[in-house]
Amino acid sequence: MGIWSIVALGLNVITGYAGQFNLGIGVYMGTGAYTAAMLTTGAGLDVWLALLCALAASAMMGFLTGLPALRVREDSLAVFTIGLVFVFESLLIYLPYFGGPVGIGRIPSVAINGIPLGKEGYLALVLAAVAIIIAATLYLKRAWIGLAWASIRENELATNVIGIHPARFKLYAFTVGATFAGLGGILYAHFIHYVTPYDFGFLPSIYVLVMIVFGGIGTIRGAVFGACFLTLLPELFRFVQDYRNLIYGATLIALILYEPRGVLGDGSYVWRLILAAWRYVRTVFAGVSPAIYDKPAAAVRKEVEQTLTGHLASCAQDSLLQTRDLTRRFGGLIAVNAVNIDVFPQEIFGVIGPNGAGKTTFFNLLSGTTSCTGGKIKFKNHDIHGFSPYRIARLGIGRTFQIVRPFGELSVIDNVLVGLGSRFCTGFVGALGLHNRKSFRDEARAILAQTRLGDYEDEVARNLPLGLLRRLEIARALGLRPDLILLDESFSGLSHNEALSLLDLIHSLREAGMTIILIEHNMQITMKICDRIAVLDRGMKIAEGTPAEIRNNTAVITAYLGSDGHA
Amino acid sequence: MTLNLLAQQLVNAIELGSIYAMIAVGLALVYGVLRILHVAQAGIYSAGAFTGLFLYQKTGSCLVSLLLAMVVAGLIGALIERFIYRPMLTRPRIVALIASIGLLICFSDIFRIVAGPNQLAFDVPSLRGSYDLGGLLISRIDAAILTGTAIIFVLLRTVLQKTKLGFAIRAAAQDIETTEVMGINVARSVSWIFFISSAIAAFGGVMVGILYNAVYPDMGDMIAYKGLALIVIGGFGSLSGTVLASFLLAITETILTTYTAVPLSREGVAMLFLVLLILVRPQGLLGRA
Repeated sequence: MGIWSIVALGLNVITGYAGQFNLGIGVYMGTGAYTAAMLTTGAGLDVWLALLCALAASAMMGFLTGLPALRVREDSLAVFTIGLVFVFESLLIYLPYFGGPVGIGRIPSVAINGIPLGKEGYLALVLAAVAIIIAATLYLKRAWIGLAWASIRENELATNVIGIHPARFKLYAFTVGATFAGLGGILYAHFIHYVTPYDFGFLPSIYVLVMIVFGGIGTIRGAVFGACFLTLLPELFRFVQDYRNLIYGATLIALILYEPRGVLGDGSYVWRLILAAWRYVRTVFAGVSPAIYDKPAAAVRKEVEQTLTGHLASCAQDSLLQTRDLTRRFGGLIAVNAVNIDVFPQEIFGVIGPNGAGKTTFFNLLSGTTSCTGGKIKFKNHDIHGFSPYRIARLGIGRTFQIVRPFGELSVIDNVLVGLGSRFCTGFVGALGLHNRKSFRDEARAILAQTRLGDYEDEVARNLPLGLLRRLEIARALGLRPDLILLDESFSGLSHNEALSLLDLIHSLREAGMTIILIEHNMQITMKICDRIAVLDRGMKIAEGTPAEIRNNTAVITAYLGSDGHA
Repeated sequence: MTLNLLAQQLVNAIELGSIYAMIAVGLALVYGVLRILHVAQAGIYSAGAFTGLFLYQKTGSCLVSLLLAMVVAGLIGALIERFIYRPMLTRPRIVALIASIGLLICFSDIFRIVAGPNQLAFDVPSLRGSYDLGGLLISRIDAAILTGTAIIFVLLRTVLQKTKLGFAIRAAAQDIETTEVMGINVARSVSWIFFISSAIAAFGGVMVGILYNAVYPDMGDMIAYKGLALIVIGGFGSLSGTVLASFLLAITETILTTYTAVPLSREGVAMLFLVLLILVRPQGLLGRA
């Protein structure tokens, strides 16, 4: 039970937190178990030393299988991991080195000071391991890394444009999850004393997945409960031995039909009951205040800001963003054709054009979500041509999407915190910092106040109406402390009042020193707020100038009203 | 002689490919519209084989029991969709996957309880013996499988391309909600999809049962796992891609296990091939990038 809890918690990190479907957890469990088995029997290594090696091997396996898995997502990834687990099982059976189908036997018990642990001792050891893994998982969830994982799970592309490298964080998830599962495998090997390839094949992997979904995916309590309950279930039905699997399967279907969030998942019936009971208990006793940790991160932030302002000062005279012959072809279609623009600091620059003119593609090129097929982009004197979105975001370009992409299941403040965090959680160690420190929350609150979202701080993002979501996207981008912000049709679908307040927001951003490029369909708004406007038509820039110039430009009138000039 | 052997292997590979295609096409149909990884298809496949065997023992007619088995399996499939998958469609897709796994466990246990854990023989004398085509031996069951597959695929193609139902299915695969708004009864189309894909799987089950003269509870598992991989490689929901992938897999599997000494089981080789193919073309053979 404890062993399966550990494995389930490992899978919970990969699938529950980072949202990467993995049906092959057995690979990592097996790697841990086999490494431990081979080192303790064949090489005669000390159990504890072997344990460390086996953990490292599992982590390595997680990393190695994570690398190719970056190429595929969702269902493809699920199927890919099914394939992996079969290949792994087959390798264990057919390579003589691994003991063939009978596996490896006579694995020694764990001993402390030369005295082998008895049954009770081993139970204590396993429980201690479970406690450690739970603590580690709890910590991960509260660290930046947990927030980054959640944002990848919700919307990978949006995570990328606010400066978080999804691939890197997925690899972390695979490695961490694999290490946990490997620990489970090691403990299993020393408990049963022999391992066979079939212990870590497809079906055991599936059972682990079933455990976490059954208990409530993405929660620690769910993983532990699922593991315990489903290990016990067959024992419970021992009296109907013959029908055991049938009942197991039927229970599974019935429960998942009745409670798809998992028995103890967020929002499930049982969990709501428990929460209500807990609230009652808390009103009786004193309230529990959340712990606030302190680490010298304000210093890091100051440093980042100093380099940024230094940079700004140095290029204040030059254009902030410059494109030269920027081109993108899709097959025979040229979506963006040799576009040159210069945008200067603190300018509000509009990009307009008829539908299909290549405006959004142009934005995608600037933010790196689409790579250009020709030309150059310079931002703050850096040549950012060919940079990945997350690097461009870190340099200080924030963007919003025409079709909003919030991290739906995260709260409004967490949405902003993800963007904020990407400035700090660069490496694995940085990502282990905690995100609910007061200084970060205060900064996020300041941004929410600026975008007038303060009242919705703890609301789950998917519940917000479109007008607020558009502002949330801006707030999220502001977390990056960008110098340039790209707004993709932020006004579309807004009511008159919402549009007016967005207008104010854009002006206040400029006052604060930011540069804004916006795509807009609404001519009135564009003409009103933009300092300069570029007009795209069929991928080419056909005009550029002040609103007054654009209004009287014949090429623009032709593009919008047709070649005859009358509509 | 070696040439002859190669030809013989090719026939085997094509036959294997037909069997893969039969289960994978059903999975692709289901995936195309509902985006469900329908693992329980393996159970339906075995259900088809068991029903076919039972009916054959009662009636003695191969064709009748085959057709009846297809209908029975089709109904089972449609019922599963109606009562198990349909309430889950608004949920995260992993929920339906778990239910599907639960179903698979139930299926194999039901067969084990009803028919016992051992292999049952499925001996059809009228399909024994073989045709000799210039040294190339094609058994009658091989011929039956190949013809049957051809007929089924031609029929399926006609249904999908020419009939109203096929049109509804193809539209629903693009966007269920819009199709519904256009006044098409999507729920009924989905029931038909399950009926059709289950019937095709049952055909495969009966034929494989006769081919290897063996029917047993988890006979469909491995094929269904491979089928899932095949729909990924085919380019999710693309039927022609799935069929192409099935034959590609069968040929590679046959050649690699016959002519090389890879230290892997047949399934291991197949899975390795599938994994590599997914990595090389994540969007699938005929899928768009």
